[in-house]
Amino acid sequence: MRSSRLASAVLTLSISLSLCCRPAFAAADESIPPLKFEQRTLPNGLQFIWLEDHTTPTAAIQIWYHVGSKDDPQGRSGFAHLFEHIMFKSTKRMPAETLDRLTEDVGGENNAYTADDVTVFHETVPSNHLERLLWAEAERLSALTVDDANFHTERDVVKEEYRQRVLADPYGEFGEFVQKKSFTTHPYHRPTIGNIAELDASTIGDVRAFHTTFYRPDNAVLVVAGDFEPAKLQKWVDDYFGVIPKPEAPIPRVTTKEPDRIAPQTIVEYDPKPPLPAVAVTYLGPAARSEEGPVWEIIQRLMGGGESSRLYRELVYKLQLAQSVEFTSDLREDLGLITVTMVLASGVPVEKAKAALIAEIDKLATQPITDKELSIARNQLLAADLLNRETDEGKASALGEAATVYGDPNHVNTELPAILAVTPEQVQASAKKWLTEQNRLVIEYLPESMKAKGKGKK
Amino acid sequence: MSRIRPIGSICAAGLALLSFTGLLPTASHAIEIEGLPAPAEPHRVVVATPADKTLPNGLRVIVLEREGEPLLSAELLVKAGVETDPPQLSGLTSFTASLLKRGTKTRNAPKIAEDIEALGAKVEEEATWDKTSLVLTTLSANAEPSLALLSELVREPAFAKEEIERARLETLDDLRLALEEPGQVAKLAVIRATLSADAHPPAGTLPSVSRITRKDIVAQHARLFRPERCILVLAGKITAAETFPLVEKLFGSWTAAAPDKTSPPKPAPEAKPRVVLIDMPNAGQAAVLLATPSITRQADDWFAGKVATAVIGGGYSSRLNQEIRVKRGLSYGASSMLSTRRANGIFLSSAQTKNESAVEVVKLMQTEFARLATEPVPLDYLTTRKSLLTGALARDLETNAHTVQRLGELALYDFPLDSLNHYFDDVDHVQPADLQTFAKAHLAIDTFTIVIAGQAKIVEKPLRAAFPKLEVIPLSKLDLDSPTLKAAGKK
Repeated sequence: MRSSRLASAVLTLSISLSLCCRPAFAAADESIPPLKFEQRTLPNGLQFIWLEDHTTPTAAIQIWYHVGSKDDPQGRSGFAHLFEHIMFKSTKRMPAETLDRLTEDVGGENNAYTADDVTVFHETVPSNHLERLLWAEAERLSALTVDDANFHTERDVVKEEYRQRVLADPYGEFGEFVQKKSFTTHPYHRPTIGNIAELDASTIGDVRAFHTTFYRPDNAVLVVAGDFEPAKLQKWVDDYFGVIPKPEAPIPRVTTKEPDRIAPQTIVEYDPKPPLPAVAVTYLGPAARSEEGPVWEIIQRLMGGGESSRLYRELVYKLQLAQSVEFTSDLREDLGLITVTMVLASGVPVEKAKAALIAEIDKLATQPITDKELSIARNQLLAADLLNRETDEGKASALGEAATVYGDPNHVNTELPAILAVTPEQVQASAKKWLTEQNRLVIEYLPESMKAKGKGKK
Repeated sequence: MSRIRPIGSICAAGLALLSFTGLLPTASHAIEIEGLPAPAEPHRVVVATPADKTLPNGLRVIVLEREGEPLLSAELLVKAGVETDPPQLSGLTSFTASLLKRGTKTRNAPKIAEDIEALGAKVEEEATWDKTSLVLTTLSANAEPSLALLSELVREPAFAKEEIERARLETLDDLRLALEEPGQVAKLAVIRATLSADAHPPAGTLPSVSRITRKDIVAQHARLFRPERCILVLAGKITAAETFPLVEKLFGSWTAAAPDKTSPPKPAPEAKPRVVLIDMPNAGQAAVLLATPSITRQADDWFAGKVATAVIGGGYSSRLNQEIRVKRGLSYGASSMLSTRRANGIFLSSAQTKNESAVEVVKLMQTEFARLATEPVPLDYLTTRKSLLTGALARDLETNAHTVQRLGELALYDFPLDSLNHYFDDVDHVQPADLQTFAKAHLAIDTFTIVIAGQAKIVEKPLRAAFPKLEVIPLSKLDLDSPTLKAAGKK
């Protein structure tokens, strides 16, 4: 649904190159040309990346702001995401929702999302409308104005979004709970959507302060991919973005360090909504820019991607203990979180499923993965990457993420050799390093009806 | 949020079927904003016409050569779907389709998963009211082994007893989970109540799925998967010259197991409009669904219907989203969709809102349905909603998978494959008067069934005040196998 999807994971699932190494298949690594982007930094600090492609008469525009829910002000959990919604309201020259006039009204689209570390605004339009979107993005970066009525209505929308995502979904609160409990100190423990009380506490003054603090050219990456004339594009960017001043104040950054986990922990929580018990196992992990990044791409895929993955094959298919299993290597800017979640199959004892899940995770450290598994992971990551490149939007997203999250747009082209070089030994070493008992948090999330029963037994 | 959302996306988002991008030749909708540059001259989109051939065994093969990444998408579609589920066996078609990847005569389920994924490929099954399909995406370089696998899945399924039981347990758990989501519950119920016998839940119900036997599955497979009833659509970095012989080699020897004795199902009489509240005491939000029977895919006013739907509930700036979300903050999103098939159709509007605002949302929806009949849509606004439809087409044509889906849809309903070339014109020809005519004929308020899934203790009183004929059904008594929605008597 439009305006303001919320993504806590930083899109890591889709961005990866690989090759296929089985002789029967194409030598796919050599057939993927690099993305031929160019880049420069404006005097005001705005990083600008562009990629010319005339395949379809469309253009994708994205701005990645280096601010996310970890930067929510004190007592204002959910504010970065609420602010993202407010960015669709009025500016000095644009009435509220002008972005929709400029996109969906002419056959384009727009949306935005907030993650822990970044907030991303993106549009795809018929290419003859590109200049207007650059004007509008510069306008809302430099001249956002908000009135009380718009602010309060949009805050109500976000509260409905909270109800839809968290309250109406039987496992919505489970997801929030896992996030809250997985970090003790770092603001990553605050769910991106926040909560009703802290949303209600936010004011229009908070909006102005947040805009001034974080929405500035030297805290943004602009990406344009698609059908344009490069010379015109340069002029438009200079004309509309170049005039925005660079503020003198430094950009505040989160410096809180999450302490290492020192002992295994298990938390049991009850909720009336879930029909089946769920279990989450989390481990603190490496940061996004760690050299281990490519290794965790492989691990995520071979543990949780598709029906040949280990967790599906063992827990869902073979042992029939789980209804669904997910494995996420969410390597965030400051530190990563490895999350494994499982919804149990009907009638399965929690202890049994939990033990099998942990045994499967532990295996990664004790035994090397097979060549076949490695090959499947590579081919699947390769195909996912090619699929992303079918659209201007996919290419722009890859470049924006590379520049913002990995600090180098050329990461879109260097990740391939990095993933190619991943060996079974590296997988085992990373597993040994992070997937330890000491670093493990287990959450049992049980239907309320199990409460009395559980107590009785113990 | 996908990493912590173990089950599928929320219904209200799933209902927003129209997706919006692409291009329209002109932007006549002028906005006056100081400093805003004017749009430039548009670059037109070109839609190529695919090659089309029918093999001697009756399988129709459609191939579109495309530039771009070295990828290929293919859909093997059967021109029959959930509509062919026998009485008492709702869910049989979906269940049968889901078993195709669960074992063939030569490979078991884990081997199939491994072999597909090792090719960098993905195969997904889908069963809708009048279509059943397997959709493949793979690397162009792996076209032959991938299509060979597809052929094997369709022609030689094993339907092993063990796999049937495994799939049954998984399906039952999925159905139980769906029954916890107000959006899912309300959607299934409103479709069932609106289209009567023509609208059982596609995935079945707990009792019906429990009843399915191997014999039923084998019979359903034989009924559906016959070459003369199938269409294979392919698009991507491939050539027609190489692809036709390849398909002939892999599918040419396919013959149907037995003569086809099935006759197309007859449309059931339409149900009477109702107002139903499904009580879900734990629902953190209420799902509000309004639906009415509508036109078929072949109807002359299909484009008018699509544009009318876009005006009411298509995109962020649709009338429903403006009134419900933007002006009042009552929902994260309100939308409508028009789903059309060979024999019937349904128009449906939906939003999720806090339990306290459910009745207000119903009234806002009714106001918009009525307004379309009484007031001509202003031309500049109409242009923007038409752009949603043409833009969505233009964006779909960026990817192989969506292109295949568009072509497959044309073939399924026997439209010429070059129809996309005048899609822009067909949309453009719809006038405000056509929308009023459509609204009067197909969107009259008293023909709508209203279903709300939410907390009765909050919703019931105000809803009954507005609709005295309200029926309240506790979730535990909801029976989607029956058009009445109510479990029959006590057993």
